[in-house]
Amino acid sequence: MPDQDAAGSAALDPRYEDGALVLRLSGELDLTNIERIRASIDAVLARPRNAAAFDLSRLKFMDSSGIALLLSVTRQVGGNVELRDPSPIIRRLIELTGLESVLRLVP
Amino acid sequence: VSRSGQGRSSIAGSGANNVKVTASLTVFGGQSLRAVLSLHFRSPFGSEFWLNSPDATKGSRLPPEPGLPERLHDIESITDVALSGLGPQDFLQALAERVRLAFRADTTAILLIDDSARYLVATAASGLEEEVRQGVRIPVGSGFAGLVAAESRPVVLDEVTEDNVINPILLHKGLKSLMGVPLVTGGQLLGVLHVGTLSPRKFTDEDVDLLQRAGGRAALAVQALNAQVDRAAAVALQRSLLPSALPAVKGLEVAARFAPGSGNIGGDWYDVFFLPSGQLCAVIGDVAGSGLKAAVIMGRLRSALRAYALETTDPADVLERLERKMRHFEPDAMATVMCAVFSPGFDFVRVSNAGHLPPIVAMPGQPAAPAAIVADPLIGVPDPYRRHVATIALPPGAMLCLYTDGLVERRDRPIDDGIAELARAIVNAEPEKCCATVMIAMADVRTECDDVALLIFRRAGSPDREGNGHIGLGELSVSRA
Repeated sequence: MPDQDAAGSAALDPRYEDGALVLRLSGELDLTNIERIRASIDAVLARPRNAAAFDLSRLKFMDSSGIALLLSVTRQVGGNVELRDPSPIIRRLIELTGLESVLRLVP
Repeated sequence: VSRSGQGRSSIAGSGANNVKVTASLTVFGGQSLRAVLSLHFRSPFGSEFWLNSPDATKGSRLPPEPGLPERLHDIESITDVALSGLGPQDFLQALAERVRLAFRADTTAILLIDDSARYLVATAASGLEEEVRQGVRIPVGSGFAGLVAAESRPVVLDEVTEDNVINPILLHKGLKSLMGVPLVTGGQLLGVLHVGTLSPRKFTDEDVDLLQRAGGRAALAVQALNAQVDRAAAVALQRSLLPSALPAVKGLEVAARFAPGSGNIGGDWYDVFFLPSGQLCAVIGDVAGSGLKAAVIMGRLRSALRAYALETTDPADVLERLERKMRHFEPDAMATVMCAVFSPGFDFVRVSNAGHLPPIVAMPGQPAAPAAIVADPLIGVPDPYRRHVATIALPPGAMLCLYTDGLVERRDRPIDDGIAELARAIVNAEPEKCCATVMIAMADVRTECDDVALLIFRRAGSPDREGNGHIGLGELSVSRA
């Protein structure tokens, strides 16, 4: 089951694809749930894995704390983290914070 | 009060000056019936004190041990009081005393886990005050309290020895038996509560159960009190770091607004100051995260940025130095920052943008629009980054608006829509008035909303109707050589 908070606003659903960890975020990621999602990600990252990627296809919204989370996880795992299928809203936020060249958006 | 046993009866009322008085009569059964009258006074301002009839004090004629419900009530009464007025230190002190009395113990200590989560720090004690005065720190995992914390479970020592206790104060004190429980709420360990006796004692399962219940209530109260204190400190820090008054500038009108978030306090700030060159520098930023931690980082960023701005008038240079400092000293911090340096006559402004939302520019006679300037990565990216400077022309009457994302970000629409709405709300008026208009138009009534910072400038002078109006948004986005 995805790890979902009481307000049901954001969820993390970690899965493995060919041994690589894919962190699927869904809902709305903001200040009110960021710490819980961060803790869930840390718990998952502690397990053995080959590589890590985010699946953002179901993430409807995030604020600057979400940007910080993506950047900090990217840094934590050594820079090579794909951000898959961001919605136009999420993509725009990444552009506006000047992070297109730092985060790996796919496609 | 039952005929055979013991009981308690309370009445409450209000006295002069709205002081609330609660009188409790507690009757103890036993060989001879004895009663203790306790008066609790509470002023409307939150101060309070207790007055007990002499038998309530400790002494040779202690009443027989009360039952579990009564002892729990003793402890719960203090946790209820705590949530309605005491500060954290007073609360913990009162709790330590109440717990010691409820257990007929000689000592109580409350140790809270520090920010590193590696040490327990003695925070309140009764009968063991030297622990607090000496600032005792116990590593999690070592000794008695360290074991309670590391395993997050109750620990009972029937016999204290140098093998199971490392804290010399407990040994010197001559404690014979100890019982400790973790303070846990929501799965998070906040600290340890322990009671001790100077004569050997076998703590029962009922004792452990009672102390755990007391610990559970205490943990909730500690968490709530800490959250209040953190929030108050973050708000105070934010307020103290915002300019108390904007500088008076000839040739440029300035106005600002700041609204702290209604849920978690964020780390937004703005700053407006003169450089040694006489040029005006304006800064706006947003530290990732929330609460006291974000506010503290914001304070450091603001101070460092001011220091670097003394060295150079190039905003990209300021941000590169700021980033180097943050990468070295605060490697986990992230922030968006925009630094703008006005030309001496205010006819243009040079802007370097570390991941911040674009400024809005309103040229005289034209609708306001976001300036299409390059956003470099925010402060806190892993690699050193060569930052850009954009130059924005400001003909007489032009307006410049800097803001943080709390003003425009809504979850039900793309952020560009919010920026466009902000641009529509900017009217050519004096900045004070324009700030008011913008805040009304963009007000967010969500219960959990982010900080909002807003800075609006207007260059003095009437617009040159002949031509300058269209210089407009043709900003020069240039790399720093």
